[in-house]
Amino acid sequence: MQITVLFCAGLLNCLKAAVLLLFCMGIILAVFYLYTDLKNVIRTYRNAGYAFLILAFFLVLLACKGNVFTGYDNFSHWALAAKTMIFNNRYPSFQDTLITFQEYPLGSVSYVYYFAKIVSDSEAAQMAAQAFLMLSFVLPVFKYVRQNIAAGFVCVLLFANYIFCYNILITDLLVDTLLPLQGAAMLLFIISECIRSADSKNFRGGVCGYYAIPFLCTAVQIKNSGIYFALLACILLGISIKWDKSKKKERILTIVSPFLSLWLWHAHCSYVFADGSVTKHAMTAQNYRNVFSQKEENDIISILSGIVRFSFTGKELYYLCFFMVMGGALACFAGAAMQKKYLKFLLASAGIYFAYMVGVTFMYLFSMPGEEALNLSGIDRYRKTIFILLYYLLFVFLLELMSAVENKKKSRICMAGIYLAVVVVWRGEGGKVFPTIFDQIVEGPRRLLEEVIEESELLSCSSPQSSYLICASEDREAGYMWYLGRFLFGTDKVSARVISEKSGLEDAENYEYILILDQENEFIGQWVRDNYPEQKDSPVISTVK
Amino acid sequence: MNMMSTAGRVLLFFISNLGMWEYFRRKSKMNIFFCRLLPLACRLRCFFVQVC
Repeated sequence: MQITVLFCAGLLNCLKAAVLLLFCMGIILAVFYLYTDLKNVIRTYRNAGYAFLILAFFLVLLACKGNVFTGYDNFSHWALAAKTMIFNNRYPSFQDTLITFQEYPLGSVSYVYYFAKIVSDSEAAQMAAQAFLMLSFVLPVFKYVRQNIAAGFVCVLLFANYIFCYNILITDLLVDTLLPLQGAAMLLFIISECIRSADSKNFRGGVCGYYAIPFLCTAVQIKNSGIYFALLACILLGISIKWDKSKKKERILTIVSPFLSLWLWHAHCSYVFADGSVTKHAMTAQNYRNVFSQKEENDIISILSGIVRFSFTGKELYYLCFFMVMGGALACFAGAAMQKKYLKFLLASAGIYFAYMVGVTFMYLFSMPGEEALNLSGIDRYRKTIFILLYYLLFVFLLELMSAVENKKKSRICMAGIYLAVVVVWRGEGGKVFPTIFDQIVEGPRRLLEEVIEESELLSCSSPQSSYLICASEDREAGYMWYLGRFLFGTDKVSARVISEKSGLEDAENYEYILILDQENEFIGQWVRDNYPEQKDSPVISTVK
Repeated sequence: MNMMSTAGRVLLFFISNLGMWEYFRRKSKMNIFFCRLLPLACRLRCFFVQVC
């Protein structure tokens, strides 16, 4: 809900006012309810779900404490967008030349902004904000922890740790974990509050269907590809109309809402950016046409065959299948009803997976340009996105199973559930067992550049108009340093390259500062001795002195 | 707010969220957001544009 409100406020250019309004409204409401109905409030929130949220958030705060962003994509978009918004108190526009992925929606970043404005604008706080958002999407699984709460609590804690180590680290602002968690929470909400309430005459509860609107809108506000999860939810809502025709108007309005949000975002982008509709990964017909026209027949065949091969192979797929088979084995203990449910779930999972891979194929053909598409860049990360959704849904099934079995079998099933969770959590990358969120401090080359900046006190003597040349030691590092330099210096007047011959420094004097990360490079050493002998021992050469 | 420690601000953030959760738990209709909050945000924006 907060994301949708902030997103609308961002489009209306009143973000700061919206933050103040949301925060103050929350405080006023909390004081009012705590003052007038303290006992009821305590009774409502004294449960395993909120205990999990508080404990898990505390652990996340400890894990994030003192960390900085190190992942490449943080500097190319996500953290950069957050930094720009925190600094300017508005959504990026044509004035922010650093933002290159102009069509990426800013839903999650809006929430990071909200948290940063209230708590702290440090990078660790931004990570914590996103992690809190993810935890809040794990929270709905507690609806299915009905009996044996302690076992359920441990399972959810292990599951959250597993998911947080699975794809994107919690020290990143990328949304590849957040999006499927949001999608899964949305599907769960629609299944439990709209489908089951309409399906069963005796169902009690079922809140107003309009509550699904923020869920659906948030899916497309986090990332354009969230439309896939929104479409799944729309199909479910469409089916529910059949059972309960009295809520037809409500359901249709809900189904329309994510498309309205998407349209508003596109309208916003084409208004505030000159070329917003043709930037990389822009979700527009014009961009799709441009990208697809650049691909030759061989490229298309190569992409299609690569994706088909990838869809049926890979360690991650085998792990998920193992998890599914184990879940099925547990369902065998729980009687015919659960077995039937499991079969339905299995078919739905296969359908969701293959439909998603069709969507990914579309993305590689129509949205991903050139070499990146041919190499199927990032496909493992994209596939893990749908795997997270499937893990989530299977985990919910498992919790339901644990609550549904008869008393005599209960302890056995509970133990099996915990065992299954532990087995999955224990598998680790590269022989490492039991990865936790506390293992995630990655020593990246960021430290290398920051040491050079600190040593030369560069930030205190440079100005926003300054330009920088970063001399890296290898091509891969140069690409990273280019994005990192833009992020740290807050300017697009940054160039990063590997100096492998003398001519590489021909235009070096056009830059105000030259940062030398490749200290052993002979060409750079000679050039500095010839042109700036007084600075020959410094890692930063100032060409204006 | 600036005088408060980070832990204190996290606590305030939680309390603010609690207020929101409790509000939505009690109200089954959320029309207030679409009928009142957004128009209010629009009016606030107009006010800021005029003043600034």
